[in-house]
Amino acid sequence: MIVIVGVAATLGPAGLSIGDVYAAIAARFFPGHFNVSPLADSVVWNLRLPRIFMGLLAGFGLGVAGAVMQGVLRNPLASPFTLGISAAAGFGASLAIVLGVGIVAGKHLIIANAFVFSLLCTILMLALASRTSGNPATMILAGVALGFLFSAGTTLLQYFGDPYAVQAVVFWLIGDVGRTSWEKLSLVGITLLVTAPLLFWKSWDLNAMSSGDETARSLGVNVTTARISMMVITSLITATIVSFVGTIGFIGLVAPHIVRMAIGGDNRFVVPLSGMVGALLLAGADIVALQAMAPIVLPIGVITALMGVPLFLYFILRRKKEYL
Amino acid sequence: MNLKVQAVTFSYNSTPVLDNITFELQPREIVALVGPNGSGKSTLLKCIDRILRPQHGKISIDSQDIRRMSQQEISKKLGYVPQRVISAFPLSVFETVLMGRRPHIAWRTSQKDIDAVLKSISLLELEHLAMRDFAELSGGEMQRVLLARAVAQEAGILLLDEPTSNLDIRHQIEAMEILRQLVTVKNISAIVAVHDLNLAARYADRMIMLSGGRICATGSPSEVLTADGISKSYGIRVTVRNENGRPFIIPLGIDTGSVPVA
Repeated sequence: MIVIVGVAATLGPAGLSIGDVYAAIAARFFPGHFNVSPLADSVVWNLRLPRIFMGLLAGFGLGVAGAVMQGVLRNPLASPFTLGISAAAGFGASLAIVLGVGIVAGKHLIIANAFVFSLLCTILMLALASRTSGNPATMILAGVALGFLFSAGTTLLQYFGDPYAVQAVVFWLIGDVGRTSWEKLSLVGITLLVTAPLLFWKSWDLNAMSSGDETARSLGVNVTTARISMMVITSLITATIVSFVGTIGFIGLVAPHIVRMAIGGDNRFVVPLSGMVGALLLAGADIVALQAMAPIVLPIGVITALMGVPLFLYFILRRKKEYL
Repeated sequence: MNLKVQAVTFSYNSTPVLDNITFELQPREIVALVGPNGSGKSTLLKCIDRILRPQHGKISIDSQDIRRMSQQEISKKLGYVPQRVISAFPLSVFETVLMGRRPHIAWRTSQKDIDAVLKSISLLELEHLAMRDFAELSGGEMQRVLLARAVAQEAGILLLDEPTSNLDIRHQIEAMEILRQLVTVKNISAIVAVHDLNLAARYADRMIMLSGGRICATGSPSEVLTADGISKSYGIRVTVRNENGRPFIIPLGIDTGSVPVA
């Protein structure tokens, strides 16, 4: 991970040498010892490092959220995407971009809107599921249905929106870890710092629940409460990340599977490692996105899929036969 | 540990399943729960473990009402062995047994937990399977792993839901022998739902026969397994022989004269 940060920091369209970059980084820690141009300092500290850390944090959060959702719902297809949370965020953002309406006005309109709508989607999903006392199948079906509803809403907005707004929506939906700042980064970081340990702590319950609700209950887990609280926490993580970086796909789905295929199903290890793998995948994909057709920056959502799918298929084909 | 079930009544969405069930489980006793399909055996076990909540009646462990206990407290006293487990994701045998320590573990596994898991794995002779994937095991091996998990849980009372239903005759006998041994060695008691009346008669100290959600007979195997009683609850004709002090049932055919209650 440190390697990724070190490599990624040196790459980019500004034409800085490796020495310039490390000098700029070091200068902040040991002021006065290095001769750094204001340009290098600004590029490294305001563009590159926030971008790299956003990639790592977002990948980490999506990986953890995916692993927990799959465990809680006992379904290998569960992820922030399949459950409609990302679609809802996309709809919220489109609403802000195309119509300029939202919950709070100002420069954070799009982010706030995406966040509010993805939470709304979760609340609706949980409300529907609570009518069947938190049945996982109901949660999944409700999530998928809501996802389609919000996608349809986004399409409708695009259909009637003016071309520039539509283009902005498309760019937003593709996802980008570059639209960031230390301020946004710290918000994502704080969210993860508060929520991720809770999920790691509950990974025992997750293990018990993956063997069925009855088994989990007989092992002392309050299943309904555990399921709903974990869904709320993971949705909060997803909502935060997606509203800052857009709908970056696939990480939440594949990272946990890659980890499980490598080390087995014990969630005490699967959950944190899914975060690690997610972070590496996303930050790695971002390097490729910047470099592959430089100076054109490719959309990172596309790169995660292009890199992740072959990796995923490779793991599926050489998996142990009893997997899934 | 002493378990008391008093006037328990349960229904699934207004379909009554259990009606006024009362019995007591003594320490170091194996009670077999028998009765036709749908007579409420599994439901009763789930009510006792508070997986299901009965609408009426009271269940207490050592005269403590389980409604006043948390799921975690209950799980330290009652171990539930389901018919079978389909895990959504791969887990090794060791990890499956380790899950039995969930009620005792606060944050991370201690040496004590690992020791308890290793002990129960060796008690059930599963050492050679410890690192295998649970889903790859045969039915008999899975049953032994689930038993090992209940042993690792260190519960005073085991509730087993048809532990022999997927096993061949040797493994059926083996499972019951293991249970008998556990009850003696670990000083615990067990309630076992069984379909095979002869198996139940051979290994149970006491039997409870359910029919249509009611207890229709209770007592020693020879008191419960009478030709008349079996005919009434199952709707079949049988001959009951006595083999070494245990009743032995030979089915003769469907009893066209009577319709089973359930």
